[in-house]
Amino acid sequence: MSYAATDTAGQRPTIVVGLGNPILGDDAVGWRVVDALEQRLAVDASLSEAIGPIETERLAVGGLSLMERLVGYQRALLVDADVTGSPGMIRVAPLEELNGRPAAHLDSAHDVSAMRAIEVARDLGTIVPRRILVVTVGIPMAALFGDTLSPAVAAAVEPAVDAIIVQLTGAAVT
Amino acid sequence: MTTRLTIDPITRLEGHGKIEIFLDANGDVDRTYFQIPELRGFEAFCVGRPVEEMPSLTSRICGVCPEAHHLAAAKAADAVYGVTPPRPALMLRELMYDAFYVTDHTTHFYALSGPDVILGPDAPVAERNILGVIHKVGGELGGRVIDTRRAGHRVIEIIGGRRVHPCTAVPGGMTKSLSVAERDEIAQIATQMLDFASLSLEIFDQIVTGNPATRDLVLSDLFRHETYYAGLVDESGKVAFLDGRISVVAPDGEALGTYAPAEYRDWIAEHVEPWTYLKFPYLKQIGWKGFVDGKDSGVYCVGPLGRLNAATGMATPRAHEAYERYFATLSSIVDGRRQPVHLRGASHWARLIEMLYAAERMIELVNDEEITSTDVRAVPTATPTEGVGTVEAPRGTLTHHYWTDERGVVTRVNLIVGTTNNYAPITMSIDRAARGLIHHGVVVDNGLLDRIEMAFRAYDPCFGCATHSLPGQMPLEVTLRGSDGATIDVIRRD
Repeated sequence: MSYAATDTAGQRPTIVVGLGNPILGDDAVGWRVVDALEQRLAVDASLSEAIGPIETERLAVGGLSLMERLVGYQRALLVDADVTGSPGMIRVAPLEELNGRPAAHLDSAHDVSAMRAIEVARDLGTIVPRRILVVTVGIPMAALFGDTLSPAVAAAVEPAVDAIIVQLTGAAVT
Repeated sequence: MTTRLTIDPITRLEGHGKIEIFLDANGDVDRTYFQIPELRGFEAFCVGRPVEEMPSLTSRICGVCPEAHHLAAAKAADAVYGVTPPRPALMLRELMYDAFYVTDHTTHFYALSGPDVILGPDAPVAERNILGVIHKVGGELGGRVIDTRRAGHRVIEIIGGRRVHPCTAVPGGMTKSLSVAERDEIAQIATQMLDFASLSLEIFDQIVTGNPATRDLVLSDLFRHETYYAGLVDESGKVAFLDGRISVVAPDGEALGTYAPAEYRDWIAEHVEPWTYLKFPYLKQIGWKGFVDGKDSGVYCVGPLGRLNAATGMATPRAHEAYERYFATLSSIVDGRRQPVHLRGASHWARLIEMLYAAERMIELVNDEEITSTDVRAVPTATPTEGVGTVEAPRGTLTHHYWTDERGVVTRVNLIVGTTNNYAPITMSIDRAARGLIHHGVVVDNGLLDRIEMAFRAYDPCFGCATHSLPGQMPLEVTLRGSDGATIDVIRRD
């Protein structure tokens, strides 16, 4: 089931958010995927047109801070590291289905879980995306500072961009 | 036979931590261990970089308090170059930092400790979260929590250049000044924050100090330790977040003295235990005597509890009034000396007093004529060498120490973060809670786990540094093991 096919495109742009710590090795994979997505869109006008208006963001926070960044958008797609998957493994799931599975930044430091924060927003009548999709890339437990990705994780960046494009266009990438 | 209890993970704690409780043959607590995984390689990552990059780089250490790292690094870089920023730059740093304090303390009080303080540990598990807190305090106040956070991030964006990870503090000052329109916007936000902070203190009064059951739990002797206390103070001895000397007071209220941040190695030493990578800082002149209370033990406590105990008051009128009331309620005078507040649960109250101070101080700063001055940078000209920068992060004293070559390239880095200062007292509080709640044979239930978690959550600890923190929904699991490592029982909270 495609995200694009089940969500009505509105006036507000779609936001794609890369989550992670940019100086903690593989933990930065969410940021690097968003970098690669931007590059893909910059050189492919037909792809940009197919996807429509889109905003990108890189955040090192989750929970309430992440929720606050999503306020007002029709569609949101998050890209996060996943310490439970094998390195490089790409998974796509709605946020609510990730509850209890530790994608790295959906459950924030000094904060509540992203799902709980979204529930808070809805409880208070705040407009947040009706559905939020999460693309995760498996990484080893990051514990070493550095600004490069390990080979297995780096190799998953472009396939993760493909997965995002599939969700945003509802079409397979050839 | 020794039996081991493991609590892993700890919910709502920043970063990953694990508690292990060893029971003796009688089923009583023998020893408690609080272990933190270490993130490695930060020093090596910094060496070879220009020191002026450090404020932006170190703000990436942690997604919880990037503003604290950013300004500690800027201060250390000021010191490396021997440069004093112009007054408007110092005020802008302080204004941003006060907004951060209101934001951070709001998050902790309502989202993290709210389930403990506002709902109490006996509330149904399904309600022990921020939604339950909002339902108890009302949707209007819940909305104001979110609004206050958003407003705080707006101030940080205006002054710091980005909403979360600021980038405008540099050696010698700031890269941008404040326009009149921006000043006016922040003035409006500050007024709202002051109102919100006052309201939060009223809520604390109603729900905690005004309610015997909650008061007995939050301000329980179960979470009491007689330790030393430390925190930054200004020239009048009042609580300071960014500049001043570190004041240290003894468990009986006697002033041990004050020291300049650059003298930290004369005052603080670090104890090593074989079961954890983290070191335990202690007061050098008192010495390490183990995880014990008392005037002979060099264990000290930082954070809101430590700051208020180490100071003589707050530098703004309404916060000082709240400070006096706090001590009148929780402290006493012995031999003419005010006794520190030793109840760890009082940290929640202290945090709100600091929130009030930060909001009042914001109003003072935006009303200063120089706040919109464009004189925000003193360009460094001296040869760089070595420098120390200390700020009070919301969770405790944070020190950055850099060494550079003559070009300003970093050759060595040492950081002592807020929670590390509290590592020993946190460990002691968990042990105390466990001893008070586990007796002969042990019945472990959710209430017990919550009380143990309350013991350390009062410290607002942060070990995670923006990495793999814990899902709020992850089950809390306690594994009971015999001395041979075999699992005797597993108790899970889904």
